[in-house]
Amino acid sequence: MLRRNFLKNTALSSLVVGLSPLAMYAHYKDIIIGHGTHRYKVDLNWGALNSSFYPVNDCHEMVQDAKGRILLLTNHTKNNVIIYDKSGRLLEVWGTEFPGAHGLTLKDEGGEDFLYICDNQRHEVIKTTIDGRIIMVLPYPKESGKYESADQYVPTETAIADNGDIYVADGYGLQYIMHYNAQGELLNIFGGKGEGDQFFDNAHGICIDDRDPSATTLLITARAQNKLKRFSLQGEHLTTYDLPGSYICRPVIHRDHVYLATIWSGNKDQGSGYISILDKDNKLISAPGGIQPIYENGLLQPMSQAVKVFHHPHDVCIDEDDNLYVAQWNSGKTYPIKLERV
Amino acid sequence: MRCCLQLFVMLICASWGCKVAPIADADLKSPPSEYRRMSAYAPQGLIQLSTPQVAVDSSFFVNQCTIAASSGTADTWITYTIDGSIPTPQSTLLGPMLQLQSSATVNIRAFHKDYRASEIVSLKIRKLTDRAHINRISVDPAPAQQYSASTSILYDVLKGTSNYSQGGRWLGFQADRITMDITCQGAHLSTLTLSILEDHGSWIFAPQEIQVFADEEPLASQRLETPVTAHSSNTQMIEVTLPPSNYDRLRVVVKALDSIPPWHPGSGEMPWFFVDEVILE
Repeated sequence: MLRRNFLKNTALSSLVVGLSPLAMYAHYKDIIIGHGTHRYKVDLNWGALNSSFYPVNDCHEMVQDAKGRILLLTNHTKNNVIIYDKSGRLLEVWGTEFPGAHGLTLKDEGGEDFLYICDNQRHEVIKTTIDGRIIMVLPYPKESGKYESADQYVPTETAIADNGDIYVADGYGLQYIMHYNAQGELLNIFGGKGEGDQFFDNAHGICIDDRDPSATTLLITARAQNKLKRFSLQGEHLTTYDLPGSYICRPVIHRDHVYLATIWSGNKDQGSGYISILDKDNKLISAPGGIQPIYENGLLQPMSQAVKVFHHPHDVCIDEDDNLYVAQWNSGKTYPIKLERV
Repeated sequence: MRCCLQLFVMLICASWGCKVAPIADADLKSPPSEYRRMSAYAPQGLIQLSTPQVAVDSSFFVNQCTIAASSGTADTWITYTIDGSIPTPQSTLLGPMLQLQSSATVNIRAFHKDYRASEIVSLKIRKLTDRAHINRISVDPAPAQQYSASTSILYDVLKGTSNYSQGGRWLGFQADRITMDITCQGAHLSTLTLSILEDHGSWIFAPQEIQVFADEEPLASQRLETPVTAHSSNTQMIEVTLPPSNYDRLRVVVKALDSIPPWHPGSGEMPWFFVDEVILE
């Protein structure tokens, strides 16, 4: 009797063990960063690759193409462009001719995706197909009369209007914004280095803002000044948004919100970055990795980093599920981190 | 029939490699630690808190010094010590404002149950008891234009914050040697202190040596160690002990590092030197 019970108990217990090993595990609690309506879990390993074969230096920018793939631009000439699927699986690499690869903008033109790459070392903007075939090269704007040599022109970002016009921000050069037509003919030049509203220091990022159907405008970062500036498409200054303490790289608009990788904060200490998220009124409502945004009398209080998830975020890409992919500059040659919206 | 069932189950379990032994109830409820697992996401206890934002009205003071600290994150608490020890989660809680009336080394640290404790913010605050009045300081060379102010800021007993580019509270120099000529009311002095900024990320380095002269005679000097790794932004007070005597004029020669050390991205370049106060006691 005892023996039969013993065997029965043993078998049943073993069955339980065998059938449900997962129930034996206690789970770690996942941290959640960000504030209010925009909070995220952190996937630190999303973009990790074998660096012996798929190395990166600085991960500068990321975009999502029509197929839903996530493209990463790095200044490592073994593979300037690294393409993942949304789960972080490597799909494709290309690009060996962009030693100063910095800016990456994607534009659907007539149903086909094209890329615009800003190269700091080549002092050029290069338009390519989605698989890297070169379509057009924009050299330094000698015709503007503002530049004596290509070395003075260090383009950081482009923005492409619906009519194909190309805006180029010379963020590391003389701080001008160039406005070309789709054929690469220079139409206008505005900005330049300075402290006034219509000037920049530094004009690191630019995007087209068509959230207001009555007026399409440009949003341009003045990173060293911790400001986001709105200009008309003709280059007239309209509004300045102060983001004290936030060294914002480029604005990326997704639905009604503006997302900005914030490379440093506060006293510009090393490794002090986070992400800034503005709502439709361009108010800072969430800062994943940063402190709680607080407005007093309509003024944003100085921002700083709260937790050391990021070192130097340089760009953020948002997918259709509102997840974020963050590329980082000078962060130990690490690969992009994914933030999953909760 | 029952035997067959038992045998069948045991065979299945054996094929899965299960231990055929009774499991105590206690083990089923709280598994041993080697059975914990992570999800795909960053877990509690991995990421570190950033250092809290600390503001001091002035690190050297006559009556009282006020320190304010905030973390900017919900459910974070900040503790501090004033004896130089490392703050723990159970150390004295730092409220919105802390007022101190004596010299101290104040160590401040932030804690949160989901994150690792922050690095320690360490402040040296100094009560000035026998501060001698300074009439005038002239400097050579002149400070760099973008970090310039009247030399009177060197003796206004107002300390610059580590945000050196704002406020006109710092004088910044990029030179191998900076000379300061100080005239003061004749007083019995024994210490000269320079309050300086160190911020390697901005190429600002502490000097290698400070020499003090009176009427061209060397009085005293203080050598500092060349840093071997990057230091984050911090302010320092460098004390030079003088032979106790009456002085009404002193010359301070600040010798910058010969060049930025090799481990720094600016290796070989001339470092910056930032000073915001000279104190004679």
